[in-house]
Amino acid sequence: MSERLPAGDTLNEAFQFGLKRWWTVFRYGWATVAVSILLIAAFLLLAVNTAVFNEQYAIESVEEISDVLRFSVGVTVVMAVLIYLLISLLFCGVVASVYRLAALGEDRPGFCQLRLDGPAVRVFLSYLIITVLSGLIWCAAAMVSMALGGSGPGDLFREFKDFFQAVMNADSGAAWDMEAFYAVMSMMRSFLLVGLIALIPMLYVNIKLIPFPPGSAAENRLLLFGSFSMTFGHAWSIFGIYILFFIFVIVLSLIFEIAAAIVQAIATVMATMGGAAALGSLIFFAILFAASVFFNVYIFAVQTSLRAIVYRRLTSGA
Amino acid sequence: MGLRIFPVVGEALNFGGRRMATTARIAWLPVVLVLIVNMASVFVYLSVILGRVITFADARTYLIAQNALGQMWARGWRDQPEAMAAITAGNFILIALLTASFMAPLVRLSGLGEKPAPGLIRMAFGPDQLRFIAAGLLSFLFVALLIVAPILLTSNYALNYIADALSQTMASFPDPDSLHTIEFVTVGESLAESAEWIVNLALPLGVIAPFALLIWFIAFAHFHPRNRPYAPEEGQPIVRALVALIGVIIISGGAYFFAREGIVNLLTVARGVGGALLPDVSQAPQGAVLFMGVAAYLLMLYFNLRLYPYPGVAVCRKSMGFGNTLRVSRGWNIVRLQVILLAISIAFFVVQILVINIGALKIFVPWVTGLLEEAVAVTTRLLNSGVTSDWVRPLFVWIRNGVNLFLQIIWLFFYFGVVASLYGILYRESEREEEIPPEALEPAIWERRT
Repeated sequence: MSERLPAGDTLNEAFQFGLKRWWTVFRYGWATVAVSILLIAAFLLLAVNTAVFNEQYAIESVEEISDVLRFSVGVTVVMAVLIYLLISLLFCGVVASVYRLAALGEDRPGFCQLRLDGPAVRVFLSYLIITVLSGLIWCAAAMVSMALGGSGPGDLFREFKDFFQAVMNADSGAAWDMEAFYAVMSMMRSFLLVGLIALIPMLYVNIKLIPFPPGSAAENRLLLFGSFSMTFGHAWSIFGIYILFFIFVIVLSLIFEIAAAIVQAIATVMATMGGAAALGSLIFFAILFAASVFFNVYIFAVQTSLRAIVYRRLTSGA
Repeated sequence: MGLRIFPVVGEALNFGGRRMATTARIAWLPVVLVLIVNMASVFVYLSVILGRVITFADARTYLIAQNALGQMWARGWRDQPEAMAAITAGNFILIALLTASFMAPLVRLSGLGEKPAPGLIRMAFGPDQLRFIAAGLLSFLFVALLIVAPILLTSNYALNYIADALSQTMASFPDPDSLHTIEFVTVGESLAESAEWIVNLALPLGVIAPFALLIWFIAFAHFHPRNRPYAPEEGQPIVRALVALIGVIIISGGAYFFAREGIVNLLTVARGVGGALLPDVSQAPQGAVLFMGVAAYLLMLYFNLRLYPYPGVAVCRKSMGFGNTLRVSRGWNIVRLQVILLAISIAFFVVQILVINIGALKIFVPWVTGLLEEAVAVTTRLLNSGVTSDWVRPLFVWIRNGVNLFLQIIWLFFYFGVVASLYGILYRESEREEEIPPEALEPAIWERRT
């Protein structure tokens, strides 16, 4: 472990950040979530012919996807991609604000925030570059796996077609086509092999690029090669941070799930009792919803600040 | 003094990985012997059960012997309980001695930085090893004899009394105006009709009330301000009592909801093994069994956590005294220690089940060795005029088994390294000086309000 980046202390800081700056992170993000929901709803209302779903049994007469769309498939896909990009950009604004808070101590004032400035765009671009790099690694791993297994990409799609056909036949009461099922299972195995082959390169890229997005947000410039040199000598610490983070997210999720299940069980029992108890159950459901929001924002804050804290510690040592 | 969760878990896992060479050097011989003892014990059990010496000549492979023992296990305990108990005890003692031989130096390495003695063949046994075993045994006996046994004995008498009382017959007159309608029913049946709550709620709560009060008192005392370094000196006893009560109710409620089936099954199985000492749960009201199980579980968990660092403290201090053992888990540290153990268990699960057993042994190793075997087989066919050599298949079976064994041993080294390191770290935590109060520390850059 490197002295500049002790895994335990770094994670400790990230989890404390999540707790102490929960409200700030919520303040940064709530408007983006609201706008995203509105954008998705508007897209669905605009692009999908909802009348099809209102008519009784009409859904069974739908044969092509274009039957439920107001525009052509191509136009709808372009619209969906644009909406997706816009929402991603808005979320990158939230992430940029958290990065700059954890790395530089810069706290943007204001209750309602939508950020589309330089840091937001750079965070967006940095994630795009990481996604492209990951995609390239997956493609290379898939090619190696298929070369070793003696199959090609076409085989995979053919097997899936047969598999879906077998599922549809089974739905209509016919016996399962076990041959198609086994063929797809065999292809799933090759997917696992792809994962195994891609594991080490993916780990390498994710470890070396951990300060890339927060560095880009903090310095307002893309820090691709800088992050490679910055992480030199700290790879094992960062690997340890990833492992510990993964373990503690599981621990927290377990604790949260158990607590939520207890509250839900109490609320369900109260709801079945009727009268004032049923009214009381609404309070428990509200508590459950609030707890779920709290937990998700907390995990988001920890996850996001972690990268920024690593970046700050690597650059300033504190 | 707060137990630092992330550094403790991180350091323990790090020690397991980075000190694996040291662990392997001092542990390989005992670990191999443990494996041999485990393997031999299967044949000893089988020999006792079948009344003649069973060797590899009878069961061709270890797997066959293991499966056979699985089928005959219950029969062995029924027919020859003394011999089976003697083998189990002997097995346990041997494994404890072998494990302690490398755990004690590893604990001292982690706790004090004291390097184990040089040499590739190490299987030391001395005072440190003895202290490690004795401390572990004392912790176990303390929890078993002073906590679990009283609960089980009290519950045994109480539940038997309830079951007896409920099975008494009594005369019932369904029609109060006519004595001719007399029926003989048990008290339990009568109560089940007229006052179900007495059987299902009042009696169980009555049985468990003293233990529930004990748990509440322990929780109340455990979070006393002097056990919480940054708490106000005065404290608020009434608030603390209320919060402790709510906490105990929530935890008990959680255990009641989620462990209902598990506790009944556990106690039924325990009754089968432990005999008359344990309560007969089959006739008792289910609520009583559950409450009893929850109380026993909570008390066991509490004292297990309190005594968890003791083997590490005993080995590092070279004394059987408790030292600062209890300091490690005082106040909120008990929750932190539970989280640490939970996190390490999850890490173990991920590494052993997902990475080694499924990822490596089920997918990766068969795939790679399968490809190599195919390549070698094709090469021999080319050289032998289309006939695959006989040695190819057995060779790769050996290679696969060798890799499996190698990975399992590497896993054991990692596992023991992490556990030993945890003991060492907890010893250091017990000796750590009081740290600076949080308000005296310089706040992090994101904490400074502008």
